[in-house]
Amino acid sequence: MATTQVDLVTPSGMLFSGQAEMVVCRTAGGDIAFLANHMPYVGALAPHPLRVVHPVGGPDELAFDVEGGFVEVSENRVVVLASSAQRQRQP
Amino acid sequence: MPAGQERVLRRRIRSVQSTQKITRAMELIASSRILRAQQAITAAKPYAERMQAVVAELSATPEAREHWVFAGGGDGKVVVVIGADRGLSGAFNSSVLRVADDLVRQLVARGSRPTVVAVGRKAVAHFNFKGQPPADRFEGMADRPRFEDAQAIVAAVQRHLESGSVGEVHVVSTRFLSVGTQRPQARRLVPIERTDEDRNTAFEFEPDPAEILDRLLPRWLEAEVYAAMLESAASFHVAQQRAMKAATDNADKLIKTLRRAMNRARQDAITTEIMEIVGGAEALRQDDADDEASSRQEMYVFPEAS
Repeated sequence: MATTQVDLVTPSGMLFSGQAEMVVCRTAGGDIAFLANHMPYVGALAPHPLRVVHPVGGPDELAFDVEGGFVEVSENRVVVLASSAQRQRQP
Repeated sequence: MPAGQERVLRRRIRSVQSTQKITRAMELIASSRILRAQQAITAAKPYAERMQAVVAELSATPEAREHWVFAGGGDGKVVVVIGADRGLSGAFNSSVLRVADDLVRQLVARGSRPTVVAVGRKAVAHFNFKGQPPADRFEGMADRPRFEDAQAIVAAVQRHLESGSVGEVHVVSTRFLSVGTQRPQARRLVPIERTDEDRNTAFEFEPDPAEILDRLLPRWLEAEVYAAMLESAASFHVAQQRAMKAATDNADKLIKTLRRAMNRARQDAITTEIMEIVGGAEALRQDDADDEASSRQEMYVFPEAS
């Protein structure tokens, strides 16, 4: 399946950067998923888990707790800007 | 008193040596912190850059261009001054504070009363001393700024912005251009510089651009202030390392001079002592010779003394 570049960036550094099939997050308008070649989009994130589905060379899914921030999509690239975020512990 | 002089010099050398130990330790600590501060700058860079890209995207969007964040708002002005918590760093604090004073003077000349937000003990002390106590003060975090510190500062700035009368935010800080070059600089953060190019990409905004901007502004300020604080901290450590290296080298030179003076004083003392002994021996020998001579010739050396 086609992939999109995903960057999860926080002030203390890059938390995740790589190709993935899908990113799911919650914005002010509700839950939204980004597949490859999504149209340009800017949204404010709500504090909510963010899922990176099928990252290339990784596990099936990566989940992060994101404490607000923004998501910007353009040119097949999803950039998540979070003032604070961390990898969710596996249940 | 030649022997006393030697002791005094010995004491001074010891005092300079112990100062040198302190300056050398501070130099080493500062240089180890430079690297860590540089790493923090590098780690924070992607966030600030991506944030900048989103802001640029918004500024090229027709609906967002007229927002006060870009167009300007009230007459009030906030100046965030980032200094250091400690001195012993050469001209680091004085040069950044001079730039801050210039900016404040310019703003006053243009007829406004800027509100000062001071970061770093030295910046707070400076404005207190000048009789312009800062509206908000942040101390004790300038050495190793954390993102939460930047958030606290922006929260204070945000309070001024929300009062509605403030339309400009300036930040004065030392930019870390490289290990060799740091420069104090005043920059205007708000209103944000608009990119004049017209973007053809039609973005979908959620919520609408104006609300996104309202939410984005504090986050963007946080990223900018955090970057400025990190650069200021790195510059401070470089300035301190340089100042302490100069102090250590200077102590070396001073010790050399003092040791030379001390050796000369000791040599003088020895010479004087030998002269005294020789003089004394000579005098005794002279006395003996005189005794012999006087007993033989009954000649008085000091006739009036007899």
